[in-house]
Amino acid sequence: MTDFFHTYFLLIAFILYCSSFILFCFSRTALYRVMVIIAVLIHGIFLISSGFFGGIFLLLKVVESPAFLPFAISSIILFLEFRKKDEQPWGYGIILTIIFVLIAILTPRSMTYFGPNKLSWWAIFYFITDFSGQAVFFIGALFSILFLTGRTEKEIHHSIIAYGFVFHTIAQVTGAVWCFLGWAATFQWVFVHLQSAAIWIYYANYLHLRFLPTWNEKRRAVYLTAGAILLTLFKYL
Amino acid sequence: MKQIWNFLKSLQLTFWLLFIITAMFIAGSLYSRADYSFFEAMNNKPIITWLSEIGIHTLHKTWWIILLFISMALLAVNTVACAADRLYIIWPKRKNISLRIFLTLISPSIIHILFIIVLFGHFLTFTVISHQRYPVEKGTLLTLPNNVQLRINDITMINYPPDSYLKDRLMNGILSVSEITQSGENNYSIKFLEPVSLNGAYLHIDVAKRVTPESNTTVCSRAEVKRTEQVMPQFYLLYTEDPGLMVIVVFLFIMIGFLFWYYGNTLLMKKTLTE
Repeated sequence: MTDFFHTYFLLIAFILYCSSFILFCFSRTALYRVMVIIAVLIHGIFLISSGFFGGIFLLLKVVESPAFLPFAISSIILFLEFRKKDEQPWGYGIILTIIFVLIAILTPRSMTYFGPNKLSWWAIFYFITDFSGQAVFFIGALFSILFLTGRTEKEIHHSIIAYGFVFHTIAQVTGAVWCFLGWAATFQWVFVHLQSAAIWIYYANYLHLRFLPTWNEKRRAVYLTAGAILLTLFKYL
Repeated sequence: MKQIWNFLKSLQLTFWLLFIITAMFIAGSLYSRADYSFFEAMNNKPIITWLSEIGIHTLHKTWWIILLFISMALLAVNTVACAADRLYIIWPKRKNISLRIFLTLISPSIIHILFIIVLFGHFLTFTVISHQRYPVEKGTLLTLPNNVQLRINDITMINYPPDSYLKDRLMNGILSVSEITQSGENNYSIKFLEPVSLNGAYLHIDVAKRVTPESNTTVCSRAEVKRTEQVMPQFYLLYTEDPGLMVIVVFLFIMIGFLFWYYGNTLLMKKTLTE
């Protein structure tokens, strides 16, 4: 049964996300939201099924999956749709979900399992908050591009980037706790930690740009776009 | 003097320092990817020792570490200057505003100062840490750097459930140890992810495949470690004295508390203003 979910459900979610985006483009708001909700539920079932590995369930496999990032993106988009009452075009964010789900579909199923140092709740919290932070940074970059191309009027991405920074900060803390419990150090001089630190400092710098007169809205939007490019390079190269 | 102070507290300086630090971390991540074991060795000794023994002779790979530390030091000075300047402006107004508003206004400065203290904790860790890695077997007797005598009584290996495909893979392990003192013995169990604190030091457990290219190298992925009758892993006891750890943990949590307090109050104040 779990193999069935794992084989087909991500593809079904992908089709539903594409359909929801088409509905969004035709301003069928209510229908688009319903379709995203169904897509997220099916996506969630896929993720849970990916936790079953070799006859046991490993929650870490769920949160470490390449499909977790698009799940975080679409969940955040749904949250923004229902929480924010400003009628902003958050549905554009589904483009990101579609791209990352496609990448997840094309990524071979990971056959790695976990050694003793990874089986920790701190690791799970780390991956959830880290992917949530990444999701927000990518959404922020997309809306920066929309702002630069005149498709949105206001700088709506700034406040959500701040939350992305909060997520990423929590990821730094939970990651440091996990690292200490597993490897007796809160920080290690390895590329994973160095990349994570680079991202944190990069977005900390962004938060200060509002106080610099030469960094207007457009320049800040370009900065955010560059941040997403940096994040993508770290993830996939 | 005023010009120097204005330069030290300027946000332009903050921007450029953060930009340089980001660039150094990016450079470091690229070098680390290219030569993982070379930089991973930095984790096992104080950074000054590592730099003087190895880093200084390989500057083409390690230049970014020196620049990183210089930039961090300058950032600390810049942050303290900014925070002090802001406090200097807000302090005279404390009598004209409520305590809550005053504390909300100075919170960002306090948060930045706490961040610098956390950075200092990391600096202590990098420079003063004492880290040892001992291969252990059942019956091994160790004298730790803090003069504690430790005997390994037993090593228990726990594999994944026997009805799973991972039954040959190690899931956890327990080192049963005894601290030998003049008044007797104190028993401890050290598991993965459950270190033991002993006389100010931390004892962790580590594991590696017995067949490795060089002795005492660490395994990047402990998931590769098997435990079967034919293949038994090598266990290690990690001894760590880290004076920076408590600084990092305590001040980080204070900082997070302040962050939540500040953002909560700011939202409340905004809501009150709009109403």
